[in-house]
Amino acid sequence: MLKVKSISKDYGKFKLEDVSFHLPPGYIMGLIGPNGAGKTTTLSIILNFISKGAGDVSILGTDHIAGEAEVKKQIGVVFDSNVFVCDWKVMEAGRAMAIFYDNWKQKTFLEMLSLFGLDGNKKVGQLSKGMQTKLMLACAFAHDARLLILDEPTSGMDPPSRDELLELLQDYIKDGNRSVLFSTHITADLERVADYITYIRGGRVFFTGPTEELIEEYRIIKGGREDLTGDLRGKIHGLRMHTTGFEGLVSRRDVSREPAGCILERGTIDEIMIYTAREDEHK
Amino acid sequence: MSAIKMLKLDFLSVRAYIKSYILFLIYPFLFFDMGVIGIGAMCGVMFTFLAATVFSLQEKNRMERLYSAVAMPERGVVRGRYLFLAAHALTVCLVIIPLTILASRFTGRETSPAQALLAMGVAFVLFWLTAGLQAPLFFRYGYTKMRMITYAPILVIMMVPFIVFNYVVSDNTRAAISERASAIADRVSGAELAVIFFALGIIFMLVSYLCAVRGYRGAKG
Repeated sequence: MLKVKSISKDYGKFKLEDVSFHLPPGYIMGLIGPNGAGKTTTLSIILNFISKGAGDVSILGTDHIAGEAEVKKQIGVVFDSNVFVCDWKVMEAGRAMAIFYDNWKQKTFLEMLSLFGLDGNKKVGQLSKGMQTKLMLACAFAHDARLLILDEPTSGMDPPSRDELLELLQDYIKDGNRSVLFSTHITADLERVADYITYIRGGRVFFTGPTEELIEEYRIIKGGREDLTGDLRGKIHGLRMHTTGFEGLVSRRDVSREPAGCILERGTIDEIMIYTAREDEHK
Repeated sequence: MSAIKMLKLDFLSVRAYIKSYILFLIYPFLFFDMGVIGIGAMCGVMFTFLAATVFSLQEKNRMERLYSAVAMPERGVVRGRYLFLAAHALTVCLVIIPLTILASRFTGRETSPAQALLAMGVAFVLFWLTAGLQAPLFFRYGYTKMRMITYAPILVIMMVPFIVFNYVVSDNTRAAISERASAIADRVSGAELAVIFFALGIIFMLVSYLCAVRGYRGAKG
């Protein structure tokens, strides 16, 4: 569905380097990383919103620039903020999008508006951020996109709306021909729906693969101060010392068994991000 | 085809602002005394303000992201935008006709078809001179950053003749200028001059388009 191979972009102060990942059809991939890690740059390169320094992007087997118009017929995009003219009514936003898609289904668009509780006569600028996200999503569904790209889609949504969106995404990929790539900070959402994770740190891919593999790859280690040997210290990411002991993140490849006096616990994606981000801060 | 789609999107974007076009047409009436060429000049410049609305909306709503998301190749954005500008250039030429008729009625001066054509040519060339300068800069650096830089010379061009003609020179001088302008217009074929202006306008448009393509690519980094 989506193949990203060794893309890079040099902004001087920030570099996106050698980012590669593969999203097969029928799956949801979460794109995660701290602020400024390169998530939006990666999505922008995929969409040819910014030009890439090097690398290849292919969508449904077609180069994203050589076959740009054809490729984009198959893509639905939800940005982190509104992209429509604020003075447009919701229906006009749909009309604007319909210009670009031969397979636009007005019936589906209206059904989605109804499902999301969007008033077609309300101005886009009067909608809440969450409602604007839903409008973009309704547009993506109305042209039957095979690949959905979402940039922080749940950030402005209340918990029931988030839940509703995640359910929709799961339904969306059910037929096995569609995929979703979405960047988010709310990693709890990913644990629920993402089959794959691509974790970008400092412009480089730290991990890309099945979500379960990421969670299984790392363990939270906790122990007393006296249990922290020099050898163990070198293997811990984001080491945190407190009065009675220490905690951090270890790869199971480095620490396969519980060291004496320590315990290993299964971590969440959130914890993996927190410890690795802490390691970056202390570098 | 993608340019036509972009053109439709641009018109949909400015639809809420179409009413303001009518208000803008009042301004050239201030220049009735300067004859049809003055009206043509003012209309040409006025329409660049209207055409720039789409750049302003693009920036305000960060619509470049929308353009990058929809099924349209990169070149469609610039081509479509230039079709939008060309539609404005065409409209300004058409608007000149009723304006010159009205001007004749108000001033009691006859306006020949050749003079009306000349007014169109003036409007056309001034439109592309101004919009042709603005569009590549707006694409490359954005509307907010560039608007003052590109509007300052236009405002000077617009205001200076108005102030000088109406408040600085005496009535006798004003009449002499009008007479001299009419004499020149009589000697030179208005139609020939109009053709030259139209040709110049097209050249400005083409050069501007090529710069805008580079500017849009440059803005992508």
